[in-house]
Parts: sequence; C-alpha cells; structure tokens
Amino acid sequence: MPISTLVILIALLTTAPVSVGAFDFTFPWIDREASFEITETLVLDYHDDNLDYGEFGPNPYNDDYGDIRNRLNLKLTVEEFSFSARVDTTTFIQAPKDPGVKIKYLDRYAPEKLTASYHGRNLQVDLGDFYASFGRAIALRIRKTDELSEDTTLLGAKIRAQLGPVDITGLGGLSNPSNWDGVTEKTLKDPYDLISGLSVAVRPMESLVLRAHGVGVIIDPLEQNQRAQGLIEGAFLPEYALVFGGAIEVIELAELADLYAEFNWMEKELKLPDLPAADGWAAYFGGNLYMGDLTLTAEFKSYSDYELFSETDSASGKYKPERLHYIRPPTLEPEDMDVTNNHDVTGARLKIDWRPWGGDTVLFASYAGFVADDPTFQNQPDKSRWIYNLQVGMEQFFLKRGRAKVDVGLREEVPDWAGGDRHHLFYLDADVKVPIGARHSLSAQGFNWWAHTMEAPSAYDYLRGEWTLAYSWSPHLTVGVILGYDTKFSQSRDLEIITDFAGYPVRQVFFAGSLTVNLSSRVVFNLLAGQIRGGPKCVSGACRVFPPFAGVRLETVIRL
Amino acid sequence: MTVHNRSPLLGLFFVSLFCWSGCASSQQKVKPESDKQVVGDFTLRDLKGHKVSFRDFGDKVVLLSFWATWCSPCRTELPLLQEIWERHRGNGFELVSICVDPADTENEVRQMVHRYRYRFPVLMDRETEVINRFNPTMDLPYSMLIDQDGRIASVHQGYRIGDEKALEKEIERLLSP
Repeated sequence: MPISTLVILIALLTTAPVSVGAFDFTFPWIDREASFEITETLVLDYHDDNLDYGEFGPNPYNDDYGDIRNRLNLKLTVEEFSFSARVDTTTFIQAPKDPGVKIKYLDRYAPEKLTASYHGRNLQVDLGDFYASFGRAIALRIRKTDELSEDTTLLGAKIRAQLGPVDITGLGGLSNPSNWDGVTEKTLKDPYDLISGLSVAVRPMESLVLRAHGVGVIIDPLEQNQRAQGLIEGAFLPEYALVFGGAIEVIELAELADLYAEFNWMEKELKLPDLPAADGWAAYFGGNLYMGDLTLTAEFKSYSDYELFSETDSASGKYKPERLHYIRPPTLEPEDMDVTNNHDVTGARLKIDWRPWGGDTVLFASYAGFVADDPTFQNQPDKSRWIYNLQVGMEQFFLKRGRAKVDVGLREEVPDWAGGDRHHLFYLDADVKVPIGARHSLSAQGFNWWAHTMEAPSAYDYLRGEWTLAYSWSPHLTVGVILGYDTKFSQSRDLEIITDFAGYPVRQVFFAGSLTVNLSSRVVFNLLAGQIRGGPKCVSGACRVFPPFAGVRLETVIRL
Repeated sequence: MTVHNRSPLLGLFFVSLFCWSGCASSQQKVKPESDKQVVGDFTLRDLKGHKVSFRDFGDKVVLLSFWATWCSPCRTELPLLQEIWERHRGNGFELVSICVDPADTENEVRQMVHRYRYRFPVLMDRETEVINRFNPTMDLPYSMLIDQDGRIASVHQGYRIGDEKALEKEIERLLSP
C-alpha cells in the first residue's frame, strides 16, 4: 500500500469520529431524551527490532513493521434502554511475511461486540454480548482483564430479576473473546463454547445472604475448532463441565466483622476419552475483623482438580491458540504474582492492617502458606510443594496530597521431596508521589525481583524489574522515563544490556520515554518511544507471556 | 531489516500526531456547552448488598468516580475526593464511587474501604457493566461530574496531583445558584 494512501486513510480514520460528534436528541414519537456516545481509541505502532527470543529460538520475524489499530465504541442510551456496538479494525503495514512466521499477521475489520440492554431497578436484561460472574469468581468469571489483553464476553442473553428478597440471574450464550489478540497481534478464532448458568440469592435477614448457583459449559459442541492436542499446558481440555455450588455471606456482624464461605463441586468429562473423569471441588472462606485502627483479614482456600478453561483453534495454523479461563478462584497472594498452581492447592492467608490513631501512616503485613501438587510431576500426585509468601509494608500520606507506599516480600516454593524445581523470590514494590506546588508533582513507581531458581540440574539467579519516573503538570501532561530489566535469559544477576548467552543477541535492559497529554478532558494522547520489557504478566493467577516492545507507539482516546 | 524502510513509517507517526492535534483543538472550540449528555439510570449494589440507583441521588450534583484496589493513582485521589465530598455534601453534592474489582478480590475492597475510612457510597461493579457503559477503555481512575439535571458536565481521565483543585471549582460552579 503506498504511503500517500495510508496517510489519507489515517486522516479519514482520525477525523471521522470527531466530525460526527456527540449529541442528545429527543425521540419525537415516544418523547424520550436519548444520548449518543462515542469512545474512539486509535493506536499506531511501529515495531523496531526488539531483540527477543521466541518460543523456539531467536525471533527476527516480529520486527520492522507497523500496525494501525482502531476501536470504535458506540452507545445509544434512552433512559433504561441502551444499545452498544464495538467495531475493531487492525491494519498491518509491511506485515512480516518471512517463512519463520508460522501464524500470520492478519488485517481484520469487524464488529466485535454488540449489546442491547434494559437495566431497570428490579429487572435487567442483556441481549448480545455481556459479562458474568457467580460467587467469588469460583463458579464463573467472564470479564475484561485489560492487563492481559483479555476481553471475553458471552454472546447470548442474561436476565437478572429481583422478586422481594430473592435475586435470580439466568444466562446462556457462546463464549466470545476479542478476536484480535493484543499480546501477540495475531487473530484468535472463536471457541464456540456454550455456557449457561443460574444463580439464586436469598436475603432472609438484613445481614445474611444465601446463594446457590449452577453453571454448565460444553466445549465446542459443534466441533468448529481444530485442536492440536488434548493436553494444554499440563492440563486436559474438558468435553463438558458442570459446576454446582453455594455460598453464605454475613455482610455485617455487629459492625465488627464480615464473613463469606463458598463451596463448589465440578463434574468434568475430558476430551480424551481414555482418561477418567476429573471431578473437582473448591472451598473458600474469607472474613474481616474490624477493631478500630486494626483490621484483621483471614482467608482459606482448598481446591482439588478445580480448573475450567478452553482453548481456541490451535491446529489449523491460521489462528493463534490461546487458553481461555472461565473461572478465577482467589489466589490469596498479591494480584500480580505468578501462581503456578491454583487448582490443586490448600492453604490460608492472614493479613493485618494497622493505621495508628487513624493518622497518615498505614502499616501492613501478610503471611500466606499453601501446599500444592507439584506441577513438575503431573503423574505423581503424591509429590507436592510448600509455598510461602510473607509481605510487609508501609504507606505514608504527607504534604496533604503526597503518598508513599513501599512493601517487601519473600516468596518460596519448596518441594517436599528431594527433587523438583525450587523457586525463591525476594520482591520490592514502591510507589511515591510528591507534590511540588499546587499543580506540579513527581512520581516514582516500580518493582524489583531478586529471584533464585533451581530447575534440575541447574540453578541460577536473575533480576526482573521496571521503574517509572515521571513529572506531571495538572491537568495538562505527564512526561516520564521507564527503565525495565529482565536477566532471566542469561541466568545471571548482571545487568547486561544485550546478552549473547545462547549465541544470539537478546535485550535484557529496556529504556523508554513516555508523554501523556490531555488535549482536553475528553481527548488524551499518549506517546511512547523506546523499549518496553516483555515477559510474563499475571493477574489473579492467570499469566500471559508478552513479547518485548521496541519502537514507537502513539495512542489517542477521544470521548464524545 | 533495512533502515530505509523505517522512515516512511516514522513519518506516518508525525503526520497523524499533527492531524490529531488539529482535530482535538477544533473539537474543543466547536463543542458547545449545551451538548451535555444525559447519564440515564443504572443500578448497582453497595458493600452492604443494598441496591443503589443513580436516580436515588435526585437533583444533586454527583461525582461518579471509578476505581480499583490495584489502581495506584486511585489510592492517592480517593482521600482527596472524600475531603471535597465532606466540604460540599451539605450543599447538594454527592460522591458515588464505583469499584470495578472482580469478585475474587472483594475481601481486599472491604479491607481498603475500612482502612481509609471511606464514608462515601461504594458501589460494586463486579461485571464491569457500568464502567463499560461510560468508560469502555476502562482507564482508571475515571470520573464524571454530573449536574443537577442528570447531564455529564465533565469527564476526568487519570489523576495528577492538582486535578482535585480544578474539580472542586467545577463542583462549586455547578452548586452555585
């Protein structure tokens, strides 16, 4: 495509939503006021050589190309009724065509989500795409997780009704992930999994809620996907799964405590018929005790063979295979922690928060301990490992608007037998914001990991971290520098910028600059130039491996 | 990889940067004040399990503030919003915070609300229904100032120290007779 054509195309893309504008109007035949809203996000990327190491070796195939991604959200609201649509487009410029690229970078122009809703006080109906969650996400969790570039909805219908003290939610639909994967920039095929559920909650007393729920999942009943194997990342794809459970919630106990307990049973038939059915269960208990300036939190979990996921097409070679999680039980660890096993594990966490005399200082400490099946030995269930996570920290408010939070932690995974992998991690998180006058401020935020891993027969150390230093001028702009590093590839604590540990150049230190400008309260512009660290990112026990980025990224968000 | 292929792509960024700056400036000039959108109604539950509808706040000036436990700027902003709320709540102002934490971290939410002694309403948007309606990009923190007629007076994406001053002036302007 000639560059001049591209420039015209981008100009059209960028000006189109602005020229439309937002507006209110009245429907003349029903005399109702309506509101039309537009949220437009445009991202332009130029990918330079990121000096990465792919799944099978050095990876020169994801370099020197560009992409234009556009996300247009439209919404029409008429009192309790709303109609929304999201259209995503992706256009690649000089998309890699090397034979080493197994799954192609595909241009895509398609409506992604479509919803019609009625949200009254006692009745809510969603037709089209919707999110859903039952219990503490133990029975069902279908929602957006931007940090992992996940946005799965159910395409079908959801009805929620309140009849006196009884709340009923019924839903059914096909799993509908965003078809363009923001991590790999490849296309995902819809899994066509059928998911249905029913939840009933009764509130017999002001502070007591009883819940019962059931969820049915049939994986790809019409066999629309080609899958490479039944074993995915150490677990077997189910044919179907049924989850039944209930919960008791004491919302407030004499203004001193709250309690929550949930149990779920999962019946599961696996895709590989020779294997026995793997039924599982999950028990969770959580409670807070409030004692003036002191808060005590206790949580307990016990999960056995409790895992429910699907996978998109993995064998046709055209689409990127991706694992989709339909449940996300609490991990009881910091949210961004890489939790290797949250499906066969038992343990508890105790956390204490103390804000002395209700002042500007908060002290906190938590200890979590678990015993989990050893994931390195799938076929030997008697092999297990101990996991500990101790965290202490402090938060301080100062100068009326400044805030500093620092915490350190130690996490260890130790097998209870003389083999298996061992992981020791010492981590530091810091977040400081300092006001300088009325409208100016400095901030520093980041984390550092000192890790020691023993994967027989070798043992090694590595460093991983990312730090951002930024200056902000309210309400106009923020300018920052980002330093990232990850020395796991070279299995060393030396901060070598580019290592050739395996005979290939791989970047380990990353440096970038960023600029965020609020052109108005409704128009935000972000520019990033340089390199950004890749590697695993985790949220609530689910992780994805991001490739490092090198190049320039321009993002604009307009709300009309 | 060849160096000469990069220059057109880099040029493209500057062209689009120029285009966006121009569009945004003109957007600010042509958008009249009367274009305020109506919010419409929505219903969520608070931490005590009670249903709360936007309509319950009647003809008050309302600040809807979206936040999450993992959002660092939200932790800096919320105590300042609480101070503004305490100064103006008697004059017809209400702060309604909407937490978008998923169900699996609800214990963290309860702990945080108690730790910082948030006294303003905290509504739970576990399934991201309401944030998707008003802020589909899910940027946090995100707030909407709504006037007495239920129309969006302004939106605020992100938080920088000092933003709360301008916000309080807007609130005072809306509250003034």
